[in-house]
Amino acid sequence: MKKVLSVCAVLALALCCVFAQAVSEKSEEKTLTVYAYDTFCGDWGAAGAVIPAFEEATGIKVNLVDAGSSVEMINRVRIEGAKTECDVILGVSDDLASKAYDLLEPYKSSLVDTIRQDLIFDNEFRLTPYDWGTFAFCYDAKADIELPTSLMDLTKDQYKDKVVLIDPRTSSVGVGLLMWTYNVLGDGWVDWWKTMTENALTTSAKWSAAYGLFTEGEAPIVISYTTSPVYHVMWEDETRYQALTFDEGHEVTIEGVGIVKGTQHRAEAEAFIDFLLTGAQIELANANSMYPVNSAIELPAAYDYAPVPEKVFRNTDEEASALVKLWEEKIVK
Amino acid sequence: MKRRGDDFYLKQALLALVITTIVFFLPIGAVFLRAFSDGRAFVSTFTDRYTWKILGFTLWESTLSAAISVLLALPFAVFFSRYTFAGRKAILTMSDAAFALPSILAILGFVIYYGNNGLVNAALKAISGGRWTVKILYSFKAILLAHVYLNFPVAFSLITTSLSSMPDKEEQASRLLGASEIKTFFKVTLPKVWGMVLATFTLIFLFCFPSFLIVMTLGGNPRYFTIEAEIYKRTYTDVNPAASAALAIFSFLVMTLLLVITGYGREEKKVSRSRRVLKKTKGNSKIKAIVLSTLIFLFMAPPLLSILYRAFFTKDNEFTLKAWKSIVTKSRNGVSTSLNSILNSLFVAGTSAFLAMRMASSIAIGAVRRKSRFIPLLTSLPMAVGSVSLGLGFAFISARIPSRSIVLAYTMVLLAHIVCILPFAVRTIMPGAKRIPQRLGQAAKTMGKEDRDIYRKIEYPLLKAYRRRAFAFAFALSLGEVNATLALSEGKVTTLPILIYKMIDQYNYQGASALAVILLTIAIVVFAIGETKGDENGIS
Amino acid sequence: MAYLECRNLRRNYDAFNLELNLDMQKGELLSIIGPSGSGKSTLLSLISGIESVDSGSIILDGVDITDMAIQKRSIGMVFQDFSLFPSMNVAQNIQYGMKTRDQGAKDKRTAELLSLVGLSGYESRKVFELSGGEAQRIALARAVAAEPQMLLLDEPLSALDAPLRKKLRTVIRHIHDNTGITMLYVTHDREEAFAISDRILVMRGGHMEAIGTPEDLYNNPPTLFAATFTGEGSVLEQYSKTLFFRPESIILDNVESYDASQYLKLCGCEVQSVEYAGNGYGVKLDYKGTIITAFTAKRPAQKAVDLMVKWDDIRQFD
Repeated sequence: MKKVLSVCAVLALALCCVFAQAVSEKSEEKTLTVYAYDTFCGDWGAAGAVIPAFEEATGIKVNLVDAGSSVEMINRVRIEGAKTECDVILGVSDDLASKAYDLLEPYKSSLVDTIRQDLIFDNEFRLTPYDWGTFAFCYDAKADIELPTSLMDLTKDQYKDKVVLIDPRTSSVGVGLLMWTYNVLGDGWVDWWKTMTENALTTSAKWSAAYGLFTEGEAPIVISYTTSPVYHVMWEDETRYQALTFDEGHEVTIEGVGIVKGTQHRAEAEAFIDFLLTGAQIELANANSMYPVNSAIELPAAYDYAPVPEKVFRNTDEEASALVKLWEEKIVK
Repeated sequence: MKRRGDDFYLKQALLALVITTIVFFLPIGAVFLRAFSDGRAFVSTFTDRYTWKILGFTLWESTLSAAISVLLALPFAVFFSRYTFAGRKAILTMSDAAFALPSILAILGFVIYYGNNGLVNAALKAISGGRWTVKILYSFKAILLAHVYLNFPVAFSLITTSLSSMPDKEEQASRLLGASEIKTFFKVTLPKVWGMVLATFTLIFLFCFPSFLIVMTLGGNPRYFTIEAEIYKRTYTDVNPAASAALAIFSFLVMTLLLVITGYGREEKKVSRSRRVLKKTKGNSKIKAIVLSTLIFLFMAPPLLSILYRAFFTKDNEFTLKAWKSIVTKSRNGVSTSLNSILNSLFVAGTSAFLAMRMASSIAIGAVRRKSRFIPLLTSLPMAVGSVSLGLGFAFISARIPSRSIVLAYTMVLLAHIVCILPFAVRTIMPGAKRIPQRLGQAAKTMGKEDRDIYRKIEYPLLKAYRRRAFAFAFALSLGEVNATLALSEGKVTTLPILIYKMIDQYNYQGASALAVILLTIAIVVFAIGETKGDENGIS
Repeated sequence: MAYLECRNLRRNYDAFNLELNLDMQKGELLSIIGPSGSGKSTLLSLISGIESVDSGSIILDGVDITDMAIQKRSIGMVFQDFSLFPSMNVAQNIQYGMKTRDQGAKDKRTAELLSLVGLSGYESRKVFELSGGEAQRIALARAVAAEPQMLLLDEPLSALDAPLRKKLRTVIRHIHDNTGITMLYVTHDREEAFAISDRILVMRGGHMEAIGTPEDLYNNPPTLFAATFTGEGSVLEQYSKTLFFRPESIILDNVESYDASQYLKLCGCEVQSVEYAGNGYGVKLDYKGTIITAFTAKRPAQKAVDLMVKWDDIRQFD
């Protein structure tokens, strides 16, 4: 009897949860289906601000689908093929772009002129850039270190065990770092990595763990984004974490949005992309910790702590793949 | 020679098999099939020296981690299964809870405590005036330490459960014959729990085998790279599905081989009517209890307490409730996102662990009675597939069954959780099932009882201690699960660990710590209820 | 027609083959004795269904149960290791197999059975608190409670000490007489078998060696093996025949006048040992190298004696 009761209790609780959600969901009239990667979605992601604003501004309902990582998102549209309900795919960065091009139909928005020109990575506009970031080393101003001014500086003895790197094999930030060293140092990247694997505290698998080590004070320098200090200023009123810009240039990552081939909602999709380039720009900066592509946008004060580097490098994903392979051979094999 | 009518257990296992087939075998089969779309990738995976090198390292770190965890746990388990004392249950409960911690937070807790600038080093510096420091992390040893930290509780609680439910007459006899405690342990106790020791070793091995966030972050050298990391790389960095599937198959074969090898174990023939009575600690044993409990506490608690500390204090040691405020402010439809994720976690973990425990009991008993190693192996296979491949499998499902409806999303998440935790539940209960003598079932049959009745009235109740352990285990696993939920719910089901990862992605490590405190509290409360619900040992 | 019939029962093992025909009457208590490995317990396993036969058939009360599942056979069993269910108390164990659903009737019957086995008031005891003897009585009560058509007992008393065994065998016979249930009882203790059985089956190497009432088997064993296995006796090779006689048929006194044709006389036996047994003397004698065991009322007076056995008391085997 006790068992029956406990089973009933569990089931009742279960049903309550499910129906509470089902009721709140209602049966919305779905018009535009947007696939986005996981960190964009959810109440903590930029979606929490951007999507309701878009719905209000245009009256178009959005069905936002959390499709996992960017790669999973592209794979999913590919698997679904012609049957896909996806109208817009959001968050394909330039280093994955060529994996998605064949799934998309071009759309050259009338707003492309507002986009900073060197960020446009697809001249056919299958993917339109909406925000971007640059990789940079961040440091803890409360740690007693001399600030490095170049990548080569980091290989010095004084930074022994003071830097946390990220592995290019398991993280796009790692890939960014690798490309950066290649663009700045040319063939010297091999020696840089060889020295740094010894000099760095560790080479983490993921950005999350690397940045966690950094904020826990394990190392005063970490590879991250120039925009990383913004969160600490905005939400913690903390200015100790700052980004380093090197004159030799920085690697960028640009996030793009595209319309999926064969969509039934072309007009709504275009409206969505246009919105991303206008009304959403400031929200993207706030919630996504990225720079808006429209340089005219006035950024929140916290962005004073997110220096925009003068010189930036952009690459194709083919170059990146080849370089990761080389890295593997030279550094670990 | 099997008679008709013996298929009750098969019917019981059928549900589990159907779920496993739909949620696991079909999608994984489809994912694996890609390996053959590029023959060269397949061949090169098996012939590449690099693959074998990574495999060698992966096997080495997993074996060492599992062996150390088990060896370390044995003396503690022997003591905890002999004596009862204040705090015994608290220690058991705490060690279970650590298991639910997402690995990113385990790393953080670890760093706060053992790190170069962690508490241990701060204390050393304070004592020595800044001269002494120990570099514990960022080496191969650190990988082992972290793996042992996360898996010692598994070994400790499983072996304690197993030993507590065995009579200790033989041990007493051995001591009376003048054998030392150590000799008694090796000659009498160890052979008795050997099945459980082996099962535990396998479990831990399988936990460590696919680990790579810990290996790469705490190892401190890019040479420390595991098979699972390489699968991840081929999937997400190279975006080469054929090559990743080929390696996934390679890894799957290695793990399955291990599952097959360790599937053996003896079965109890005779019914023993004696049982173990836990002794009260007195004098010497009281001191031992205090020492051993303190050791476990010192080993297990600090990283957990570090997270608790971080939830309330900034890096500058200033007290703040900001993290807690950030948790409660975000809301939708008047329901706080955090509260919603807590309810989701409770519901998903509670339901899936309960169902997995029920299924695992019948599978374990059925397998022992039918002397079949096939069904437990079949339901164990999800364990042999790393989380990257599992994630791909789930993504494959969600591309075909888009969870447009919230009910479907919950259902898929539940099913996926069951498939992921069932193997561990089966492996936990199996040694218990083997300890139920076949004679009992025969005796009941001679009274005209069918398998169904025997299972319900005799065998199921006898598994109580093992079932409780399996539930705790499954609950903790499900509570910490992220991949399956993310892949199958399309963001419609947000559980606590998912929220933790999202907060970290938004730089909010303190908020993540606060959520982790909630997660650990849930785990501890659930396990504490389990521990207090009678301490009667099922099998005697 | 017999109540239980085992026809041409066969089961082959690596070590030995079991081949047997057996008939039992309703209400009978039949014991099986034989050396270890003779197939006693195997036979029970086959009848109960725990093991299956290679060929032949088992018919219980006119129903062929050869291929029936254990639980359909209505054959109860009591095991040497009691096999009580550890998760249940005494009453729950006993009530487990009861057919009725009425709890009141169950409780009443439990009390009756407990009193039958002499353990009234044990209902709520836990099984691991019971002594071996108590546990086996509960196991008996439990088996009877399921109202089986017959009861198999597999060396139920072997795990107990001698005085307890004697006491419990009376309990078993008492249960039998009280319920009228047909019992097949395996034991390695021939005294136990003699004490409680209606008939005894002697098994050897998987075959039936002899079957009959205790008196019949003791006095007229069909084979030398059955003779030696059913009790003490002396074996003497004479005139290319094998003679067998029981100790109590030996006369050690010098009888003055007797009919020589009716007696076997062995002269010049040497007394080797004498053991006093209360009701008489056990005497070991050496007759031309053959050891002869005798049981007499008086202690032998001399070292060398002559002995006589009535030919009627001697079994001759070829």
